[in-house]
Amino acid sequence: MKKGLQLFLGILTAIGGFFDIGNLVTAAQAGATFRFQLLWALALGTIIVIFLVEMSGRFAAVTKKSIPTGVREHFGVRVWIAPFAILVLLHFLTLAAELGGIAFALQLVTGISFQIWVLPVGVLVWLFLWRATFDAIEYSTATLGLIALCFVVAAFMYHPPRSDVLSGLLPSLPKQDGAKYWLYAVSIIGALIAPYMFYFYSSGAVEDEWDKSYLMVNRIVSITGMSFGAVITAAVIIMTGLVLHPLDIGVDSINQAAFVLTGAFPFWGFLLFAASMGIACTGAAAEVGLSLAYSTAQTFGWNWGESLEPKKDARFALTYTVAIVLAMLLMMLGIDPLKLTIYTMALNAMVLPIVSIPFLMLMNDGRLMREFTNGIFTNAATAIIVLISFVLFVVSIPLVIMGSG
Amino acid sequence: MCWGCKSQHDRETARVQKALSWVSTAGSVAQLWVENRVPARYAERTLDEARTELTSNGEAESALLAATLRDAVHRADRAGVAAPLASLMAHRGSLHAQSDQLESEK
Repeated sequence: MKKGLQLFLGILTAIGGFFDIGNLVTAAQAGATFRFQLLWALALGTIIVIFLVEMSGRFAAVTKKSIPTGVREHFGVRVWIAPFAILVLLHFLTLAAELGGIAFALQLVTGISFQIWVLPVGVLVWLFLWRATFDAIEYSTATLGLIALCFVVAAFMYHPPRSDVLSGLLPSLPKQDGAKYWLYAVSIIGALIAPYMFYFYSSGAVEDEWDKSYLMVNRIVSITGMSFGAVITAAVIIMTGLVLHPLDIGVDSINQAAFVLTGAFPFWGFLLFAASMGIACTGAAAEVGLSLAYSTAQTFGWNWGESLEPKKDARFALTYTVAIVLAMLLMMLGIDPLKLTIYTMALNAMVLPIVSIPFLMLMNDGRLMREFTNGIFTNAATAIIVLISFVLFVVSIPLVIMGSG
Repeated sequence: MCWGCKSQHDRETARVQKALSWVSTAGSVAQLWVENRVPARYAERTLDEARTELTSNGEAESALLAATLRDAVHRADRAGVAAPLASLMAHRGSLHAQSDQLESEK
């Protein structure tokens, strides 16, 4: 019974927790500019993230360790410190983008500048992390995050041409704006494989004291939750493809995407968009803040745990506190959350090899994983992931330069 | 090849497409405000943003129309939206034709 409930809550969390500012922005830009043509990037990224999340949960259930702890113990701090520094930077930029996303959602509803909202938003996210337990954070944001299913409902109401949607799942070359097309493709994949996702997942599994009996739960949650989560992102691509693309509206500002649901829901559409964005970003900001604190504490061997009182893991609590303050300051400077998001997501794709290869090596270590090392199928998929990671690594920087021009 | 460098033609195509995007945004938001589907504060802010973007893209006339629409929203003058909206849509048509022409010349 307990496992059944955890399975249900786990899937709910994966669906609700999947969607964040990165997914929303990259999907909206892709749909508005290239209609359904970039659905294949979403499908590819989803397959990669399913493998990575399943492996991170399996690693935690078998070794009872999180990924940073495992990498540090196996390779030593010296090897881990460079990937860790990159990871911290990425977490920080993602946290800033998520805080900016919440503040922008409030700007949509109130008309008051997002820069003014950043301060109260940051304080509320910090209070949430300070006061709430891990389960409370995980389940409340995930459940509320299901409001983003309004995009799926809207997409069904519009009856998109099935053949066009299906052909979008097959990779194709762009007819125009090649650099922008590939930048958006990389950014969609980068948003899906954001490292905080699987670092948070593995630390959460350790917090929930998973053991080998959770391996099946882990597998079902990874596959089902991530797939359903991807359906929401696909619905954003479809809706912006159906509504904004015919109007020649490209999404250079979140304001340009904010009315995308008003055709399906004339009265509530605008509020549903703002609520979906605000709630998704709140959940993600909490997860990113925690993931940053988890990774730091696990790298340096500090006490950690969101369910502990802050005085029992003071350095862990201090880490997310400092990160939130710095992220607030960055957004108060007036950096556009959309631009920050698109570049951070491209960076995510770029650093995937650096953060994933040590982890993938651990997954093949028989001394550590015993009979639960990766099988032939998973290793083949892993090899493809590493190859894709390398290609993304090589092409990301020029794409960021060319695509933004 | 120079990373980040674009030809004159590519730059002009990008400029026209961006202007077209903001003209369409301004028109859609003004129309949705008239239909009571988006709040006035959002409409005002977006029309203001459209005006800024259109000015920086060398579309002074469209920028002026976006500003006129913004003023109408500010005064809650729904009837006052019709005329500038019609002019803006005419601009949209010519920008669309210009964009198609530039694409076909590639």
